[in-house]
Amino acid sequence: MRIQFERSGGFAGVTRKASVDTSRLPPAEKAALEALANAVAFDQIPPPKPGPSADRFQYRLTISDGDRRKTASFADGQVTPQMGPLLGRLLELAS
Amino acid sequence: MKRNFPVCSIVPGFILREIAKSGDHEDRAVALNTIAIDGTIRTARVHSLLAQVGDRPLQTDSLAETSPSVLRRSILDAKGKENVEGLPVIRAEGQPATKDPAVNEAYDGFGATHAFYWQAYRRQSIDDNGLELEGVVHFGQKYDNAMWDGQRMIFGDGDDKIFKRLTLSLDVIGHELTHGVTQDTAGLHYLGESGALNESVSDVFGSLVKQYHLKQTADKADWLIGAEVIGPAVKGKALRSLAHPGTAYTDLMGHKDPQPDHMKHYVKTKADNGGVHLNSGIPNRAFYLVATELGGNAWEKAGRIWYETLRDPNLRPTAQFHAFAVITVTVADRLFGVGSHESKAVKHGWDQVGVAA
Repeated sequence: MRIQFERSGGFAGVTRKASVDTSRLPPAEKAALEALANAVAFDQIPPPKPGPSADRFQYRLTISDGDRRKTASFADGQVTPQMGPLLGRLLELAS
Repeated sequence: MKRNFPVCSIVPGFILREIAKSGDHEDRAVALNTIAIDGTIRTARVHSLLAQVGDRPLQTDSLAETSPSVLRRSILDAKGKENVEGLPVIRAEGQPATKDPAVNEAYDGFGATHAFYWQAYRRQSIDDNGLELEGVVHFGQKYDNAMWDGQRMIFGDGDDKIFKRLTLSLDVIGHELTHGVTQDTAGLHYLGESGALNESVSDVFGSLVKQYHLKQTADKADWLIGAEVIGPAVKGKALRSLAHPGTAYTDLMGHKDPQPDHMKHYVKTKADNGGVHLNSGIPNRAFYLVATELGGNAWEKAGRIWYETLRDPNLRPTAQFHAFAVITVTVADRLFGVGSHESKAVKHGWDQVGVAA
């Protein structure tokens, strides 16, 4: 599984990225990260919060596994509880 | 006589306020009601003069609540959750300081920002109508951000490595509150160049709030944003520099301050709503150049010009740098005279960052 992650925006405007090929991870870590990734229901990401706002984090997430590829762009306020742990872990891996 | 005032801000606030002050009883009640409904709709908050006044005849005291200097703050605690609904108010207007520094910093920062807008520009709060300032602190876990969600200001605690708690910098609080002012005035779209202008306006007035609070002239100010919030893991002096965009930090998780200081370095990107926090460096530096060329207190001339530009009906929500720059010159002509020293300084500032004005 390949996971591409980008968090941009926020008040500071620092763009942080991670690109992870889980096959290169130790087995336990691979299993843990893939479980977090598989828990994300891309079709259940809520729509953007209506109305203007500013300084929200902006996310881009792409997960490729074999010939399946899922991608989504979303902002703070659209992050579901299922997505939180994956995004947190990817942020730790991001530069 | 019954009069119906439209609810949706078509009657300018100052006219309603005038009716509220000088009209007969019924007119005053309707005007106050409209002011209240308008505020409620703009902010989706159930907090209205109507509720305070009820059906009773209006008393002088009630009218005093519409007086320009009114300041209403409420600071709420998210207690580490990423939630802003139904939170307890930790400190309401007039209540004494708490033991929680984040609560007190937000409260005091709102007070300083409110005082700045009123004393420098006679603006009454975010909506120029005394809107209550709501702040949420302790949002999320180690949350490295502050934001404006369209109705309120939200502050994380930071992770204490990259960011300390986000209420530590007065200019950050001024930045977030100014997003509300921009939303209420020009409504600059948060995308591309208009988004970068939106961000720049927040940095400009965020910095001016601090300069005003410290009574600093343009040559004495640090022109930095977020100097107090950067943590020990960051090499640098702040998050942004209006004076020298691109120089605020040299290492933040391996990143350097990415802001351009001239149009020739404009960043084209899909991230960050089209680089709104990056390309804001260009108008930021233009403002700095104008303010330092004019000298003295930056909020008095340069700030006044930028503020009136933000309120100018010719400034469209989709304005690009060029359109904004042209209006700043028009405003300077209007305020200080065509071809005045101030007007020339504004044009000169934009010229130096590669934006035709």
